[in-house]
Amino acid sequence: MPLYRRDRDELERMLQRSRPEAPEALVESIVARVDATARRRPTMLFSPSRIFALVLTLAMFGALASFGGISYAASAAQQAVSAVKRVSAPNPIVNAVRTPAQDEYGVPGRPPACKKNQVRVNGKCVPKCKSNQRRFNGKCARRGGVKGASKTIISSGVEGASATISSGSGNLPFTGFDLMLVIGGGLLLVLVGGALRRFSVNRE
Amino acid sequence: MSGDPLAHPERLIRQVYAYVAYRIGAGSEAEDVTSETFERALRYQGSFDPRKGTPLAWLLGIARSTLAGRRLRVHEQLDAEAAVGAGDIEDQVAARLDLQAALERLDERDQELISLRYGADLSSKQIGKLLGLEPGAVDVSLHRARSRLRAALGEAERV
Repeated sequence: MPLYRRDRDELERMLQRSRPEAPEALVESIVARVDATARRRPTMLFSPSRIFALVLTLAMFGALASFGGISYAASAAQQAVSAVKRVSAPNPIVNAVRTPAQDEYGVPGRPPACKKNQVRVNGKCVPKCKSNQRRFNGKCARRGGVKGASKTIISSGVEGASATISSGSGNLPFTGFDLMLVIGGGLLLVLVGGALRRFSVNRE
Repeated sequence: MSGDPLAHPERLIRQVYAYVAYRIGAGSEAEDVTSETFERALRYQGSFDPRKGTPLAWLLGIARSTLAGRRLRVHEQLDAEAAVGAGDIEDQVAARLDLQAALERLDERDQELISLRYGADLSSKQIGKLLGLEPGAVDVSLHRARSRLRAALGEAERV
């Protein structure tokens, strides 16, 4: 056997032989403590952290529901679904070429087209609003009102075709908070939570 | 693997104690650190994740932070009781004392490696996982630590 190998084996044997042995009293006392804790610990189906999470969730739902946030979210989802439907299955253009009579009196069963500076609202042609105005109760009024609320404009182009345009202001409804700011804040909170958890696990 | 890291604690206690005793010397301080390690393990049992490692690795992590927190640099001598003996026991005790003195001369990292390998009885792979090293690098570092320990033992004998 090479000398270095023999030396190594001897040293390893010495290290293993000299391995400190835990006193039996210490082992027994720790085992007793572990057993006692295991007996005391019930099956924690409703642990404090779970109860806290549940209460927090319910409180958030309650707060959202009281301000109409849930119905707003539901209607926004419905609008999104209908917009997707419209894009994926657009209305077929039936009368691409119309006769002069149809231009003048409209297609039978359909209302006649509005003039150039008009839009159709509730089946009637009304003047278009200015760019800084929006229609409210059939009249043009300065922009304002509920932030983030969407509006529906019936286009004056091809008859029967309509387009839903969301306000696109990037603000949340009711509060008027900037959407990106809220998302950024949420991400920051998630990061802080993750960092805290990592820190506490490392400390353990 | 079971979700309860302390389901079979006896062997774990012995391994943790051996590790701690190699680090700071056998005796009451090592017993206190071992005890505290298991206290903390019981308190934070929920933080154990079997996917991240074995219960022993988890406990050694707690023991390391306990040691770091205590800033223990007290190396106790072997019990006077153990030192009183004859024949083989006397030789063993002398060897242990030499080894302890030689270990004290090593730097922190070498002590850590020797304690994890020969105290806690971890494999190179397990040590690597605990210290964030590749198993090959652990083997190399252990080889160097053993060389330095051998040199320290030689010095102790000359003294």
